[in-house]
Amino acid sequence: MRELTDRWLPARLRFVTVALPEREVRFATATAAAFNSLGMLLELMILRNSSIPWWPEAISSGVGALIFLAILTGRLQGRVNAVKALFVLNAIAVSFALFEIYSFYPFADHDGLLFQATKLGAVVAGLLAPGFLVGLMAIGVHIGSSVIQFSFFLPDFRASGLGDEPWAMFAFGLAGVFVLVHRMRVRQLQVEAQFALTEAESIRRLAHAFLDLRDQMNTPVQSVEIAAALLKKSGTDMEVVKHLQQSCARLREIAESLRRHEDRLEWSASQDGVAVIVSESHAGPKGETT
Amino acid sequence: MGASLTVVDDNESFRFLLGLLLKEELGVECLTLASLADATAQSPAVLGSDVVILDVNLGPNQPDGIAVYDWMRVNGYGGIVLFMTGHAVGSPYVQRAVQTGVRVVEKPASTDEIVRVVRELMFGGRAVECGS
Repeated sequence: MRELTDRWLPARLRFVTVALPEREVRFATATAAAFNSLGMLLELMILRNSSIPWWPEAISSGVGALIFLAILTGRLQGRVNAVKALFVLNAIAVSFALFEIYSFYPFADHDGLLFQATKLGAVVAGLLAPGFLVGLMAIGVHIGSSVIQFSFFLPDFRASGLGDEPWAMFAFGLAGVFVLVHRMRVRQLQVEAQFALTEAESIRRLAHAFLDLRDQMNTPVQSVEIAAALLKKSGTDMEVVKHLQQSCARLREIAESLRRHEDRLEWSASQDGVAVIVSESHAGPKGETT
Repeated sequence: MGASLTVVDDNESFRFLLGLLLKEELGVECLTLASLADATAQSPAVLGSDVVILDVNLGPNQPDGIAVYDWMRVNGYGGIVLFMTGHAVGSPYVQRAVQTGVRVVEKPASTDEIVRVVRELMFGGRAVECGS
């Protein structure tokens, strides 16, 4: 799928399909789940003296804890897409809890600032998302649910202290997206640089291998050259000897022209030329870091 | 009395043909050997040679031509050494040979050049002598 999209995506936009290593995906999702679990407990503390119910925070915190434990115990080893889905599920749980909490604000005796947790969630999603599309989804869930909720608030309530909304929410959503784009773009550049290094190393090894094979051929060629000279002395068919010596001269020219290129290579420990060429021919296709 | 010329190279065909060529062109008898072990087994003949032609790479997991050269020096060889190698000048093998100060001929060389160089070393217009 990624190869398909990479074909029509301009090179600068390929960060959209950058695949993070599984360890990073698991760590990012576990971190987001832990933040949800602990953050919602803090929210409970903030709202402890209000009439806003505690169950939305408890549900979200519980979801976060379950996701964190599932990753910690290794249950989802090797299932990267499932872990990414849990990142989005975590964001949905947080958004659901906040949606419920905010719905009580117009009636509750609490003068806290509305939608602050939503904005924080959008930026954190950009910072932690284990993939670009997953991150976009999480940011969209956070900002989208709150913008929709805001639109349903009564005008009087919206006018009282929410004059900057929903634009402030969009600004934080945009910040989350920019952070996400930056992270993924940097990652893409790292992958491309690593690939270029690997390819250069592979080419260098092949070049060394070919030169090594060339060197191994030189002694047999020398033997043929000497044999041709001895045949000439012994009076063998001169036409045959002439062609033999011409071929030897041509082989010497080729060896000499190869020598002119060897200065570009740094010599390291000698490797068996045939073994290197065989190993390079068995190498897999181009890959990104996984 | 030792052979006039000793050739140490792990390639049997090359040893045989080079020995034959030099005998035909220069009239010298050649002792041909494959390794340091062979050289030490016939040390009187080797150390008594006027010229010793050494391949630089004497095969995998074998002491190389530099090791043979060092052995000859340690045992007081006072004749002339010539390295012949199929490896590139930039390779570590050849660089070590060049650092000894001994003349190095790269294979494949024309037979005329080989004969000319060996004649020069044996009969006049010396290159670097062993131990200098």
